[in-house]
Amino acid sequence: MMKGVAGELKIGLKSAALIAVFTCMIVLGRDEYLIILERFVKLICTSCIGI
Amino acid sequence: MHRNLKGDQLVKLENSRRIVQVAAFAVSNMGLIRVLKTGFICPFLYCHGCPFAAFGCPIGVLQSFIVDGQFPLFTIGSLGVLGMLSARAFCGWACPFGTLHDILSPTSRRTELKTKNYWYAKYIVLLLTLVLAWFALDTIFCKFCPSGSLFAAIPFRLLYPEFAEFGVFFYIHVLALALTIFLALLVSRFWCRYLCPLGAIAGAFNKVGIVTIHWDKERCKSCNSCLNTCTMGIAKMEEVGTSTDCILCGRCVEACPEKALRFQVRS
Repeated sequence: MMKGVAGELKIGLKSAALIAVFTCMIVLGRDEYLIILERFVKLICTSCIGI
Repeated sequence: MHRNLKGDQLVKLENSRRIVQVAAFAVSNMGLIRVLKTGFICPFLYCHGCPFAAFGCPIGVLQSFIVDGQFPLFTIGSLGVLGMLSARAFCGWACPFGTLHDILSPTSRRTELKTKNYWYAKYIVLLLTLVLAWFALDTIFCKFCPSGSLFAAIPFRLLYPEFAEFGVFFYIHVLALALTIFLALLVSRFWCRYLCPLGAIAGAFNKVGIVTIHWDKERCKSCNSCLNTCTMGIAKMEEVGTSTDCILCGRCVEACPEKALRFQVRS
């Protein structure tokens, strides 16, 4: 099995592949960052505060 | 070869965890300075309704995207990467609501409410959270979330007492928090064990995440010190580090007199 080596740490190919897949999802969905920032974090969520 | 924590490092593990928990709470609230509000999501249950929140709550964001009919690619990807890197360690080391549970019930308690029997409850909560968002087109879970009550509803009310529009859900929030605190006094990490939908997601990564706890069978004398100290009620040695309930807090690692447990990178 191929292994990615970083110092003393060996990460399995399956783990590395899953991390790569999730990283791709982050990159592809990067526009969501601004939505989360502007709509959820900067604005007060009415459900959260019980209005 | 694995990078392990041994010897003197273990003695300081619990203190380190406390420091990390305090730091995580501080970082979660760095939105007090508005420019430090970010669009990232935090890998633990911290409500973005908090006036000082710096991150989005993953459960709140997931529901909101479902309500909008969009697929939350960035959020799922973020949860995936964080889950792969840390498995459920964020629950044990960073979650402010988990920290509250540690304060309320610092020791493990063996009650009749056995963890194994109800471990799936949090998956039902997760499913209900997502399905209700889809059908009701509203963030229903957020209206009942005790974490949202503690970190958003109550602080908001204290900061803005003149705000007159608090409705019935504010009181439902407070009731949910009171009930959770009561149950957390009876059962250690009650919310994390049975109800946390984010814990359900993070727990799945305990099977594949790169951080785990390794059990050395040859060193183990079966004294059960580790299981007795587990606040998540893990009952079998085989489940330490891999159970969806394990929060990788390291209490078992520290408790083991034979040093048969250690943090390990899964290869």
